[in-house]
Amino acid sequence: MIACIVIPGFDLRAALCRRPSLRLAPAALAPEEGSEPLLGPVTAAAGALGVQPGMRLGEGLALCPSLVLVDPDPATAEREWEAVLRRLEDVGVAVEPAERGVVFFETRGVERLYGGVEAALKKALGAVGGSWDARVGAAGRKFTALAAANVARAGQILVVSDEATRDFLAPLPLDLLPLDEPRQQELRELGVRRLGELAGLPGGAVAERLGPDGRRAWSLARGGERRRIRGRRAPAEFVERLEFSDAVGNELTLRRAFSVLLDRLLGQPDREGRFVRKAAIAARLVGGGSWRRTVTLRDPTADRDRLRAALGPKLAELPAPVVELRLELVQLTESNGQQLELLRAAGAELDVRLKEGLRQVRASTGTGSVNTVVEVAPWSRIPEARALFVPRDD
Amino acid sequence: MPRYVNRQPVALIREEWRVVDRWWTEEPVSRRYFEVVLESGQNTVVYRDEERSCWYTQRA
Repeated sequence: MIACIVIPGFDLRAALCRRPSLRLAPAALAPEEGSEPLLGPVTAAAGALGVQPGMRLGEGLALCPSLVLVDPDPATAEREWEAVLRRLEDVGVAVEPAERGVVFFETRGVERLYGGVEAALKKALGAVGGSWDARVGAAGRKFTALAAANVARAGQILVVSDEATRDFLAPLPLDLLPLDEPRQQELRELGVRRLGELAGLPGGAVAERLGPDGRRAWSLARGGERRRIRGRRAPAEFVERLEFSDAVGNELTLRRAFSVLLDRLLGQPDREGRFVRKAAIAARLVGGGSWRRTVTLRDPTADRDRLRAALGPKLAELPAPVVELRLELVQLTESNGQQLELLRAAGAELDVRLKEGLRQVRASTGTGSVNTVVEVAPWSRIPEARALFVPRDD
Repeated sequence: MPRYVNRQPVALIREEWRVVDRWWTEEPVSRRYFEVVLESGQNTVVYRDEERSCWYTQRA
């Protein structure tokens, strides 16, 4: 069976770790600097006063003048989430995190160990910890498990059997589907408000009206595809940090500190020469907040300059002076070398590389971005009529 | 007559000619070309587009 654990408003709960007194007060996660002024997750007290996640900041404050805005703390959230995943892995399940606060796992491997599905789910719920108000859903398919976890109460385990899937999903609202708001609105205007109503429509008609997203939503509303869970590969534990006695906002100083951290990380013998696939740069900000950016490298590398070029520019996005800078190597490659060339690449090999390069340019800039110059009238008196740009999309 | 090309004074006009073409299309070409030598010694070709009443430097 596939199980799903959902912790609603995980980022807010993580941000409140340092201010536990606010858990019972009306509070909401403030929007990130530079983003649209929309509220993040809200506490139960704020919800009771009518404040909803995704509401405009002004509207939320008008409804509840005592609403406390909590600054996002992505570094703490990431750390706490990683701790939750590790506790689950310690129970013996291979986890597939979907986003912070939502994780899937297969119960089959631990059912005999703990004496059944329910017992295994109880064990997993216990591993997450009572303070997170986690809820568990389990079913034969991923989406049904997610839906079950979303409708379960805090601390509740909801198991949906294959036979009961259709009846269970039918009365649930459409917003459980991964559909954007205009599409949901379109469905509501067509009188479709529940998963069962969508599932009852002919698939071809839904695809014609709503496109591939709609077709996928329709398939989910009927229970979704039977997919296997892919357990994650546990992240590497390579972290270096630098604390500053005074808050630093100067980019040059931060870049120097970043270079020191990078040198220290690359010099760690435990890395055993493996290349970096994913790295994160995080900072504790003056005033208590935190900031974190993750970079996945297209080509894994251990080259200092390339890593600096990929991560360094992120420092310019720091919203406030920093009291601690941290650099993490999140994922390393298995290999620790690159095939060297005995002979210089030529002919077909170069063609393959050129094609791959052009494919990547097209992928990032769209079709029509790669052109060939074709000579059409070299004799023309008008220079711009001598050749044409012809798009190359092969 | 061009006197300055890209803020450099023109020292000499070596040749002058006209190109009138595509007058039967919606994008007719009517240009007055000059091959000039600038005071720096650089050779360049400029033209005045009679349709748009603008000066251009030719790079091709």
